[in-house]
Amino acid sequence: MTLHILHIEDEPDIREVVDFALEEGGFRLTQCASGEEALTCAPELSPDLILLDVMMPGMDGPTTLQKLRALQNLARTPVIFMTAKVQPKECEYLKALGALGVISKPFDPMRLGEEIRALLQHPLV
Amino acid sequence: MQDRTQAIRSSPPESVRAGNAGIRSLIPWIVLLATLLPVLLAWNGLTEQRQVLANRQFELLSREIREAIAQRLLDHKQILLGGAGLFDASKEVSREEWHTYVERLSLAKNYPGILGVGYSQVIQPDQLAAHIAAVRAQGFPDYQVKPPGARPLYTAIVYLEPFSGRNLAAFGYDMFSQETRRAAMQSAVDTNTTTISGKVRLVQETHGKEQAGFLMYVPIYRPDLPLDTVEARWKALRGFVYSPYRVDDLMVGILGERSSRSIDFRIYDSDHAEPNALMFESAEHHADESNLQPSHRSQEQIHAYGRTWTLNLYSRPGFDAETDSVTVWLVLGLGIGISLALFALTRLLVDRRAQALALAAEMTARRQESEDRFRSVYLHLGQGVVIHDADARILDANPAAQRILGTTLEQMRELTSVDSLWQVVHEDGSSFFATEYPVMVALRRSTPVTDVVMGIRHDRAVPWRWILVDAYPRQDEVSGRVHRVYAVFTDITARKQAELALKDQSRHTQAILDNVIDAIITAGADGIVTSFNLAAEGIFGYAGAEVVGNNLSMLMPEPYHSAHDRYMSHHLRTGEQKVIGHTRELTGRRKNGDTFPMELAVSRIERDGQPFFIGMVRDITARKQLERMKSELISTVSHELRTPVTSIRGAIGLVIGRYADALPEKGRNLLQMAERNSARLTLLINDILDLEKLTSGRMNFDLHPCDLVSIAGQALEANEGYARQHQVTLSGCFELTRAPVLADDNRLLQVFANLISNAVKYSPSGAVVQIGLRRQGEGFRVSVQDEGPGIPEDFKGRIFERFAQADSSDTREKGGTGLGLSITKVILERHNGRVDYLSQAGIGTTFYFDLPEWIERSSDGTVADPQPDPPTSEQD
Repeated sequence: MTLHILHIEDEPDIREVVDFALEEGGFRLTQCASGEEALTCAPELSPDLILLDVMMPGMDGPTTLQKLRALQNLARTPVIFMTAKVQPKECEYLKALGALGVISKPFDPMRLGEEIRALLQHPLV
Repeated sequence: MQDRTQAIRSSPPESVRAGNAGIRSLIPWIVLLATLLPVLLAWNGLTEQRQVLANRQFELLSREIREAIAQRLLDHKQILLGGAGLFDASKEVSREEWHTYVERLSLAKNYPGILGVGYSQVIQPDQLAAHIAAVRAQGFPDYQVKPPGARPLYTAIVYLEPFSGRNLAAFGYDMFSQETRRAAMQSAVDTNTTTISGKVRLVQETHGKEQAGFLMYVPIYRPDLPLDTVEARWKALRGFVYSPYRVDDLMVGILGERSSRSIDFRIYDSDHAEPNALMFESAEHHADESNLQPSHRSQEQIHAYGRTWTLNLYSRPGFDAETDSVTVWLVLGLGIGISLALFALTRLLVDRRAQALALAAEMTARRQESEDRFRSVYLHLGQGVVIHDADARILDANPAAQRILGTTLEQMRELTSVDSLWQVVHEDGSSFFATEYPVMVALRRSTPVTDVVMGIRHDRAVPWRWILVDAYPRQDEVSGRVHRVYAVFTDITARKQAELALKDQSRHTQAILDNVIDAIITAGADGIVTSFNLAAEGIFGYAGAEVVGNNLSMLMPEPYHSAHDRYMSHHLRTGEQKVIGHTRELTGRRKNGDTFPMELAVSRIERDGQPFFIGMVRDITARKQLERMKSELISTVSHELRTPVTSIRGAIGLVIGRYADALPEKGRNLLQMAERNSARLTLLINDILDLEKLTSGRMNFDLHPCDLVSIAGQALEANEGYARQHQVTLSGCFELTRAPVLADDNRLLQVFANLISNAVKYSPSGAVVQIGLRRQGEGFRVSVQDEGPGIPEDFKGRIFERFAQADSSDTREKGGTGLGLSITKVILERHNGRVDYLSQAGIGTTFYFDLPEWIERSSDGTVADPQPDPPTSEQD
């Protein structure tokens, strides 16, 4: 079953790496370069998961999440943060915002899919 | 000087003084004697005079009495002679004629004491019957001549006037029949004179108190008969005119009340005081002569009418009182009184004098002692004393003065202090004018001059001596002129030098204070600023004068401003120190109201028994800014680095993962190398970020009670895989089942990972890394022991430094970042723990760390925070 993921990341290289990493294994990716962009296209979407970068210029991850949650279609969509901040406190903070999990950067692209499915408890098969 | 001392010692020898005192003590007695003697003499004279007077008085009274008696007897004789004349003149005298004669005499009035005047007729025995008959015929039928009996001659009382009362008993009585009367009658005839009888009991004593009596007789002869001889007279004898006397009555009659007060007397019918012959006693109560103790007595004799009467006179007890003895006793009493008063007065004066002398002697002795004492002080005093005369010439100088001035007394004597012997300067080095010298000023003004500082030297070769001079003028007691000036001075050279040194030191210190970059502020226990250096002025923007004297809190923003006084008093009360002894980061407040971060170090010292605070303030605005920039930079750099690394790693990972088979082996190896290094770069970035956060205090620790045994177990498990990669075996050796500590378990896991990975990295293949846990003192010790090469000696000092690795090649070979031990050290310090190691080259290294045991203290379960937030954290 294909998982539809809304990926918000300001860094185009990382967007591409993620795109490549999730190319196989039953994922469909919609990518946005910023929180603002995500907010404009989000009402049209109904993703199964939001993969959200924390540190972004302009609107950061938590703020973007807060705004996305305001949309009816995304009010309950699972969220996984991706961040370079790996302090336990920060992880807790992000989880407290309603995140399902935190994937630290740099990540292993070959195992990213597995990691996401483990967090979602959504096995591929 | 010695001679002067001797002169004062002249005082009379003790013995002379004692002698004088002896004589003086006699003076009162002499006065007493000298005054008492005249008093006694006068008293004696008065007494004697009084005696003479009394004697004369007594004599006068005695004579008066004697003469009165004699005179009365003479009077009575005349009366009887008158009666005899009556008979001589007429042949017969009738009873009526006798009665008339006697009545005319008015006996009771004129001659009290005469019982009566009578006529006793002589009767021859042959005529007795005719006589009785004749008298009976005259109207007295019971008439008898008494006593009856035959006698050679009879006499019979025929007339006795007044013929009444007692006298009736005598009518007819024959007086010649009674011996005493007869003797008197016979004597009257024999001597042809008037006679009186001895003491008799009168026949008239019929009743009442019996008195002694006597009788007086005058013989009557028949006319015309010769009377020349005794016989002739007896022949011619016709009868006797007589008077009976009761002596007591007679004496009352004679003497009346005269002299009855002062003199008593006794009449004896004898030539001596024969008790039986006592006829009269004037005293009311009879006493034996021998018992009488009169002050005067005399004995007289009255020779009268054939009898000798002895008259004994003696003074009555009242006699002396009559003479004026009061004056005599008054004289004596007053005299003695005055003498005693004078004696007492003299004695008092002498005593006073003795006291005064003793006092004077004592004062002299004391003065002497005082003199000696002052002399001794003068000689041994550390201060110099120089004595000047009225012309400011030096008379004397004590040893200290000679020592301080560096001259001898001989050199100084007769000089003045202005003499060029000395060079004298003020503190500022200028010379003294002659008139400025303290001695001169004291002389001129007659007032003491004190605390004058002088630099003095008498020779250019010697260094200046500094002295503190007082000059005291002494006025002559008589003229009031100043005749001495005492210059007293203290050598303050050492003090002066110390002052100069101190001044130097002080200047030096001030220079440091002025030039130091840090603000240095001092304040007392009350928080009042006492000094404020230049740097402080620069930092806070206040001038020193604006702050000194005000409360320190003016340099602090709220809330420190308001809390400062409270904190200060809390510190003073409890000694609890929050700031003192540590360097703290605080916020300061500039004059313009800006706040700025500052570093404050406060030390507390005791000054004059009071706490005194020295605060050093460093403006760390720039440093803070730099720190912030640095950490921001690090943070940014880390993030900025991480992003490309993520891309690189992601890209390489994807290539290797998906297209490895399609690549030539060489290319594949190169990509794997790139992947390894990007992984290392990630680690490095993480460590740098961690360390930066740790050292800047911005990494928050989540401290909570945990079990160290369990954490060690987790660590063992987590690092097993890594060890296996290196063909190293991990071996746990936990001596405890539970080891409670207060810790952030994630951080402790990081510590374990660092130490274990280190040990594994440096262990030879196939070795064992031992992880131990045991109790150590108050806490627990964890040790990680490897069998590596040991730590080189020259590296031991740097092992906990950043990027420290024994060999730079290690980094590549061992794949570490060189930050692990630094991070470990900081983490453990934040846990109140410490890390250290033991290493032996060729044998191995043991890293160990200690953590305190956590003991739940409070009953409400609150956990004690071993790392209370410093005040600075509030400001970050």
